Amino acid sequence: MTGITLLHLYPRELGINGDIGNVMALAKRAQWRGMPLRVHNHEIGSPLPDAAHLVHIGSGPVSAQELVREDLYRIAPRLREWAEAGVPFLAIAGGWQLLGRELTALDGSLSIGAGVFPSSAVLTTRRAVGEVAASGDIAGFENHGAVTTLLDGALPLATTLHGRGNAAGGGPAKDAAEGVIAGASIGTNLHGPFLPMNPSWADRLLRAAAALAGMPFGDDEGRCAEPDDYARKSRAAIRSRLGV
Amino acid sequence: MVLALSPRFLSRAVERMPLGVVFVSGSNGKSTTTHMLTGILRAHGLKVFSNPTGANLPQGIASAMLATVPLSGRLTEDVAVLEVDEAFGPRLAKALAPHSVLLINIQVDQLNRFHEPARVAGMLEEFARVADRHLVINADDHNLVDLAARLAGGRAKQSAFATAPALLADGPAWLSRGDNPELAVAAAQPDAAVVVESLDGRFAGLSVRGAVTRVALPARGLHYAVDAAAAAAMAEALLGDELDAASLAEGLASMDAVYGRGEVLDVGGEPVEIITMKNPPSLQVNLDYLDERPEQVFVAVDEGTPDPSWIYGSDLSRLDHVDVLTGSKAWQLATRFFYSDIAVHSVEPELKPALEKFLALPKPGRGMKTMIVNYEQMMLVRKALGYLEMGS
Repeated sequence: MTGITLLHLYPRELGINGDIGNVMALAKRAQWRGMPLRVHNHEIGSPLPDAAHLVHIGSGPVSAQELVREDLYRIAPRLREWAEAGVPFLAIAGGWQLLGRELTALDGSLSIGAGVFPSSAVLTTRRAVGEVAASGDIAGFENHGAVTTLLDGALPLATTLHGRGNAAGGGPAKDAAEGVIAGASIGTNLHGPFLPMNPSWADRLLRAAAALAGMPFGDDEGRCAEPDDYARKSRAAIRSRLGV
Repeated sequence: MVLALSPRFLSRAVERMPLGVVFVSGSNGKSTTTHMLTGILRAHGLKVFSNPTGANLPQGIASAMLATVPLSGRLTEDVAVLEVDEAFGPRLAKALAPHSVLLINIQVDQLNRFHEPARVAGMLEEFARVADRHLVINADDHNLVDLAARLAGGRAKQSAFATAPALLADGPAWLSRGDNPELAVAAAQPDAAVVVESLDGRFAGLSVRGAVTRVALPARGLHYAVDAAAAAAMAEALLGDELDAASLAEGLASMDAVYGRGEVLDVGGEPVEIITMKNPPSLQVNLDYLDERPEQVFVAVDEGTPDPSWIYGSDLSRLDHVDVLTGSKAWQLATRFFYSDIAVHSVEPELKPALEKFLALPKPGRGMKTMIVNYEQMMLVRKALGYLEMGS
């Protein structure tokens, strides 16, 4: 048993908001479940690993997106192959925009995305900034300026109880679609440590990755209870602040 | 208020100063660098007007001037060295056109204020453009190098300070890059007026126009050496050939030594250190400064930090536990600590019982009780402990 390979795309460039917390949560929870997990950090210009069972890409400003774009085009065919084979991706905000089909910049220029997610994004100056509570007991913080459209009938990750989600700053302050679910993969505008805050999604991603790596989804033997209680109280505090 | 009452007040106050008005701005180190530049200029026999630490918004600067200006309405000092908040710089520059501007860095801090480093660069550029004498920048900061390139050919003479690449490579990551690619180290600038060549505890070797001067720093840390280089580079621009190495060293040595990064409060005869969690670089510096893992730790974070996500990117290895955790973000922090195996002994959502619980702990066997708090909680903690007046 060789374990799960977690591919972390561009950790140096895309990780402005503490997105590394997602990788920490995946690594720790795999450890608690007795599943070996190795993090492969992909840097610009380096070779991809032979196999990946889980992929994470974090958020970053437009300038950081520009830095990685060329390398992303280079590896995009492989990423699409993996996605089609059922490898779960977690893509946060700016990283999700890059992995969609198209991204329109503030000046109206259009660029092609990596095509992993059935979505397209248009950047806008009307940013959405603030805490978010959404259906399915999801909570987090959004700070982005992308109006994202889901394609091919893809479903959102959640509907906001409070938060602008995929509609960004110009949209309604509630009842908005947030994120996307595409097979085993998730895209979301909830930047930073989405998984520590919403650990059931971490386990969902890990379960899919474990299956691909040919190993059973291990029992946590109660090790997740304490951090998940903290996370539940964090979400409850956000909902309480937002009055929903 | 004064700005609204008398827009001419500020510009009149400074119009007779021979070395003019110097703005010092950037994400981190403004106060230290302003103090250092003031110290260097005073050691050269100049009379310097400066704003008190932290009074870097237009009202604070106007108040400081109002308190000092004689009846003539004109300050009698030779030069005004002003620490300026990056966001308010453009507005202040309208009332008080700076002759010279010193820009230290643009870092991924205060993201909730500015969202994007590019916005900060835009704000700095707006008032740097006003300068007609000197523009001094950090040659290791991509954003500032680009900014200077955009202003090349303007009225201000440009110069730069830098850090020897080997030192930068060994330094804390945030100093050169932070969590952000835009802070990537720029190509070494061989023509920088001042370069940090070496670092040895609380001493640094600063090469000024090629000659190395050994200077004392207020505390250990490469960031202090970089602040000293920034101050020396602006002093070099202002003084030219009159800058002398002995006065440079004397001016920097006049800085009060910093023994702890935080402020030490006396609580019933027991010293308690308060570390402010302002932004990722400042928290990291404060944590890295701790020689040992603190025996007793209190953490308080509230809505003054709307999104504490960035703390997942901080290296918390100097902490092995937290005794008491409080503030409206307490559960988010507890989750963060758990993922780094930092045990949280008690979460008390309300500040008062949390403080009581922490202060009731017996005096630690070594070091001080350590509190890590955001700015808003620091104010509340000070108030609760009977420290009503802020130092400055």
